[in-house]
Amino acid sequence: MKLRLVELTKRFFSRHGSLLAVNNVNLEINSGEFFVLLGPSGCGKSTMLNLIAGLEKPTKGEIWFDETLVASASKKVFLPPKARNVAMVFQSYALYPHLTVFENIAFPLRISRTKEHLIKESVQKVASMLAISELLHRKPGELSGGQRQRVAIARAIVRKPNIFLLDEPLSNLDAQLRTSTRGELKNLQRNLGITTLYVTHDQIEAMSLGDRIAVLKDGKIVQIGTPDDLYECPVNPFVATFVGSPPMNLFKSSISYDKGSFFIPVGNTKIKLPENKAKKLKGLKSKHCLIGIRPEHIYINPTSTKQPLKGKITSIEPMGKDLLLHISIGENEFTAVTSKKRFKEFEIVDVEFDMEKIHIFEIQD
Amino acid sequence: MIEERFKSVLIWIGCVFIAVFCLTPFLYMIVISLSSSPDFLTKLGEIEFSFKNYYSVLTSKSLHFVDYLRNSIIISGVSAFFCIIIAGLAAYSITRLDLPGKMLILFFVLAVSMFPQISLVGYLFKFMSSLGWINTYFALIFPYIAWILPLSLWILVSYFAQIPKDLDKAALIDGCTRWQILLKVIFPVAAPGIFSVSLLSFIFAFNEFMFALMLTIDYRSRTIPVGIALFQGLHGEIPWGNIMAGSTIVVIPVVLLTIIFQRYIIQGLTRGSIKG
Repeated sequence: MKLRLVELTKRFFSRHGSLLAVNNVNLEINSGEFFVLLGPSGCGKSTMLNLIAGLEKPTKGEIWFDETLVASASKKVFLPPKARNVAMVFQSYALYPHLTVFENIAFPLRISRTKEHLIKESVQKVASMLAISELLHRKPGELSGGQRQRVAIARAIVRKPNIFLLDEPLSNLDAQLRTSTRGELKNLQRNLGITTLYVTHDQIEAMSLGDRIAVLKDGKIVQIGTPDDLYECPVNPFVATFVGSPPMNLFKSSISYDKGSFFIPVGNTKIKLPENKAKKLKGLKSKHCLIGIRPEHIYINPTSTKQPLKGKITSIEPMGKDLLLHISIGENEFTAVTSKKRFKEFEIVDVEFDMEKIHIFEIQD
Repeated sequence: MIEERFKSVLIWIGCVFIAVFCLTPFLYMIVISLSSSPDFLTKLGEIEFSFKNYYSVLTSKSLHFVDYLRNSIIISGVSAFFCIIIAGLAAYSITRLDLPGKMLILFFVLAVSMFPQISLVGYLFKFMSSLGWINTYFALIFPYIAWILPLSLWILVSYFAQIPKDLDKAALIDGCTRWQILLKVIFPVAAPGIFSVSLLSFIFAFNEFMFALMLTIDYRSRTIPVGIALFQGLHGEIPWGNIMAGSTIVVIPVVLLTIIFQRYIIQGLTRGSIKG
């Protein structure tokens, strides 16, 4: 099912004033797509999920499921969750503690008065799909976090929802389980082909799961794109630092123009911009820019370099396969990732920036 | 080491003192109820063991003990039942729905419950007389519901507030109406709270004295606390043995209820609904 949000806005009112949680969001999610809403806490991503589920009424705008209008502030249309056939998995799992796993999964079917033999059949089917058949007679209190997670997912998919909503479902799991569950979740979604909306603040989760990702900030969509789009071409410094780990290095710089070429100063050295990057700068209004470069695009002690940059290692973080180096060049601090070993703190090293991979963001005056 | 030991001895002495202090009257009550002597303050050595008092309390028609007991159980049971239903609905709406001024309602209810009973009883008497309800079950059931409600409401609100809101959301998405959420999710999850509040309400109504004294006249509606207090012999003497036997019997349902429901009260049913 295709999901369409048109100028969706949600404003909360309280004694202390009002809060714009979702601000004029336009979004189209294709049928069968795995779509991720990524953003820091408090950016309105969970509110968006609640609006789509029918737990909140929009202040403005419309929500469409295919050609059905499910919520509209101006046309006074509001379908309750029951009529939307959406399923949701919560961060807290929200299993019914007084019911067995079987009854938990069967709950939505019982509410819709499904026939007993059909309930049994469907519950057993999803239970075997999620490998929880042995747990059906237990209570949620007797399950581990990972098992509860599976029960919550089983309860969500048992009645074949139109849209599958997940609100940070993996954040209560330990790191190892999170990685494995992530893979399973992706496979499950592929096999079922249900349109899925996944909310998270973890960019690694977003990158590995999403067909497309929307980055949100302060209730607004900052950028929509595939994981590669976000990584390769972030539209602004926020996306640039939010996506990718360790985050992109950003430093303020003023670009200078000399003999037909553009240069950026780093420490005491001026580095020439390559032609294709320089071309884009023609339209630049301000000379003051933020220059971004990812840690993996900073090379340490290269065999030959045209940039005579010297940097001092201020600290070293071993990460197993790689080393994370904190390097100071002039008054700027950079992090760099290298697979080379044997560095000492306070050592002076040669540094080279991969100028093809740098990002230039204009600073609005 | 010595200090540790001294501390634990002190704690033991304290515990024993409190237990003796609280339980001695009960012990005395049981001893007197089992004695055949008609006097209250007989020397312990002269007491003769007999079930005479129990027998007379349970069989003597003029004492109406069984009538009082039946009245008490019916009135307390009905009051507790309605109290739980009203308090349950109120607690659900206060913790879950977007009501304006809901804290104000809660504090207003609390304030009302602060009135001393004696300040209400005169008005209640007038009211019940004009309704013609004096000496009926209704005369006690209605005031009891109103009188116990604030306590039940406050306990249930704090209980319901602990139930994660995600459960409501999950139930809404699973297709429940508000009523279904209340009946199929909130009430079962809050079962320990509901049980303890029912028990408390029952005991409160069961023990109530003043309203019962003022609003009832005879065995047709009089409850057990008033009944026992007004036990009188044929010639106006105070039958201590009967009073003690009656009191001992009356303690039994309350103790039984506590023992039966203890399990439910302690059992942490919310365990496992969310992480942790």
